[in-house]
Formats: sequence, structure tokens, C-alpha cells
Amino acid sequence: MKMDDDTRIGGSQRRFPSTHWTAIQQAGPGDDADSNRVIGDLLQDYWKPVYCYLRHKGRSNEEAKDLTQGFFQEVVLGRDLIRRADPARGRFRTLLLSALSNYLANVHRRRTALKRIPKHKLIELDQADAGELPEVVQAISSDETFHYAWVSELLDRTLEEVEADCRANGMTTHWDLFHDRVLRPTLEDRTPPTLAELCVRHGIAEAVKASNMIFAVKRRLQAALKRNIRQSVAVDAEIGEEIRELRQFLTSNRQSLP
Amino acid sequence: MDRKSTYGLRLDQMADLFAIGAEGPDPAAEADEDKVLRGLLREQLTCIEPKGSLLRDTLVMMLRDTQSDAAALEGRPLGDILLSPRSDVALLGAIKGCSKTLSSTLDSATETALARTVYFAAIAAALVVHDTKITQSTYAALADSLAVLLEKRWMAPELVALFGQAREICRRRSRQA
Repeated sequence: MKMDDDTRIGGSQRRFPSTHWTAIQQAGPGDDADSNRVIGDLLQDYWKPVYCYLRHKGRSNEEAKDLTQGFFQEVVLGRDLIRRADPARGRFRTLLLSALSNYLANVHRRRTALKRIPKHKLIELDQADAGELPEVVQAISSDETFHYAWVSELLDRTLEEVEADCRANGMTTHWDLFHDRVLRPTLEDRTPPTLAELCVRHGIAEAVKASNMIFAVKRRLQAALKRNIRQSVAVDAEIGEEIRELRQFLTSNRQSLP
Repeated sequence: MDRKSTYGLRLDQMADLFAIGAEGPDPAAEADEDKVLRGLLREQLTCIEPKGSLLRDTLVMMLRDTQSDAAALEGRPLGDILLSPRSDVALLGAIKGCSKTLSSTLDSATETALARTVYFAAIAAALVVHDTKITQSTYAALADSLAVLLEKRWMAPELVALFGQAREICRRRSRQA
């Protein structure tokens, strides 16, 4: 597999193929280590949207975790997803959701779910932060819950990469400013500190300098988000469309939620 | 530094975070960019603690540093100051000076556009409300600059009205000169 085009910034140091599309298409048939690694990477990144969808469909915690394993084992590793994967037909996010919906219908029809759960688990979901669904998804559909968890994973992964990138490139204060002014107030739903307070806290003399440092991190965040979204679309031209669609999903539901 | 996951955030919180990452040059999304700028400008004009932009905060710090009356901004939205007949020319002049500096030193294109808008709003307010020109630009040059701002699709309606009045004054005086 060609890895020269890998997207890497100082984060987890995991090597990503150029896109998920090329990854699943190049993985090829068989059960070789390379294919398993690709599937493992996909599962690592996307188990949560799958799990949340299943929980929203009324499955218990344990059942949802088992079905998540089964879905990735059967549909992804078993090549069903790869056979259906046609970049011209849509984005990886919608392909995964469509395949999941079909998988669940089949499982329900054949009532063979428990028999199909693999003995050897791809990753140990007990170690992951599963558990109860957040309150926010109670007001949205199962499909929307999938998209919600997808965006959450995307943002978490992107923020983790940007933080690591900043710390690895002598921009720790940049990151801390961004964290204190933008990220933490959003995550904790509280009023951000003033720029003056932040300048005192971080020993910065000029407001313009602090402002520009925060925007330097924002630009990195923008670039990293586009890189991560690029992995789930077929061509560069679809990045903007995917961003608009995700943004529309988030903003169209915000009015109706508590 | 421990950081919480975004999992569990309300959709509006997640939308705010996603919007930060989704900003940036994208010619195919010009309408979205307009929407972002319109929202940020609206927030600047109406909020005491705008979340999306650092402009007001930066402006207050700069006014403090220049010994200007930064206290006049405390507890008042920027739009209230720019559009109120009670705001004095000295304060408008200070806002104009700081926003001019900001428009040439800020790295963000979005923040620069906002700073430039505030700069011309201060000039226009001084002209319309106080009949005072607080810039060395000629009336003709000022009219041209205001005309460019008036064409921006993201411009706030109250500033469109202010810029329109100021442009008429500039055109009239330019013809008289």
C-alpha cells in the first residue's frame, strides 16, 4: 500500500492512508495483516457512531457493543462494505450508515446476531468510553445520532492532532490561549476570559499578539479538520460539500433542542 | 492539559466548535463565508461579550493601552456606541485609531474585515451624528470606500443605513469642494 501521501501531524503518530476510500479499496481480499490494520484503524475511529446508532435503536449497552463488533467483522472485514464502496455514490459517512442500517435489518430478520458476534474482538470496546447516550441525542433520530457521534469523533481527533502539533512546534502558549479562550468555554459552556486576563495569565504584552496567536491555532484547526474530512470523501472537491452538510446538520437541529 | 471530549455537548455547542474549524478560504462556499461574517458582525454590534470574534476584546485592551476612555465600552455593545448620538467624537476617534491599527496587524482575514468595518463605522458615525470628519481621507475617497462596504452582502442593516447617509454627505461635499 502506498503510504507516501499519508497525512501526519505531530499527534498520535498513526499512519493514515490517503483516504478511507483508497484504504478499503487497496486492502484487497483476504485476511492479511495489512487489511486487518486498515479495518482496525477504521474501527478505532468509527466504532462510536456505529455504537451510538445501535443504542439509539434501543439496543442495550452490551448488545450494542457486540453488534458493533459484528458489523465491523462481518460487513467491513467480510468485504461487504468494500464491494459496495463506490466513491462516486457518496461519502464514507453515508456508506457506513447505509451499510449499518442494512446490517441491523438483516440481523433482526435472521435473529442470528449473537451467533454472528466474533469470538476474537477487533478492539476491546469495554475499554472505550461507551455507556449511556448523552441527553442531546434523545431529541434526534437514530441516523442523526450516528452523524452526531461522527462529528464528535471528528472534532476530538482533530483537536487532539492540533494540540499535539502545537506542542511539538513550540506553540504551547498558542494552544493554551486557544484552549482557555475558545475551547474550554465551549466545552464547559461558560463565559470566556477576557483577552486582558489571558494576556496577564500567559505573560503576553500586546492584545494583537494574543489575538494573532489564537488565530494561528484556529488556522491549524481549519487545516486539520479539512485533512480529516478529506479521508472520508472521494475527491477534494467534496470536502466543502461535506463541511456544509455537517454544519447544516448541527445548525438545523440546534433550534429544536433544549 | 486535560481536555474534555466533545461527546455529550449540545448541538449548538458542537456547531460553534465545528464552525471555527470550518472557517477559512473556500471559494465554493462564498455564501457560507458571508453568513459567518454576518453572524460575527452581528455579535460584535450587539453583544458585550462576543464569543466568535476577538475584535471587541482586542479593541478594549488597545484603548486601555492608549489611555483612551476604554471604560466607555464597558457594559455597552459596540453597535450601541457606534450608532448612539450620545457617543462623543473623541471616543469615536479612539475607536477609529485602534481599529485602523487592528485592520493592518491582525492575521485573520475575517477579523481584519470586521476591524475595517468598525473603522469606517466610527468615521461614518462622526460624520453623520457630529458632522465631523475624523479622517484625513478626502470626501471623494471616503465615498468610494463606503460604497465598497455597502456592497458587502454580510453588512449589518444598521451599518448599511449609516454608511449610506455618510456616503451621501461625502458625495455632496466632494462636489462642493
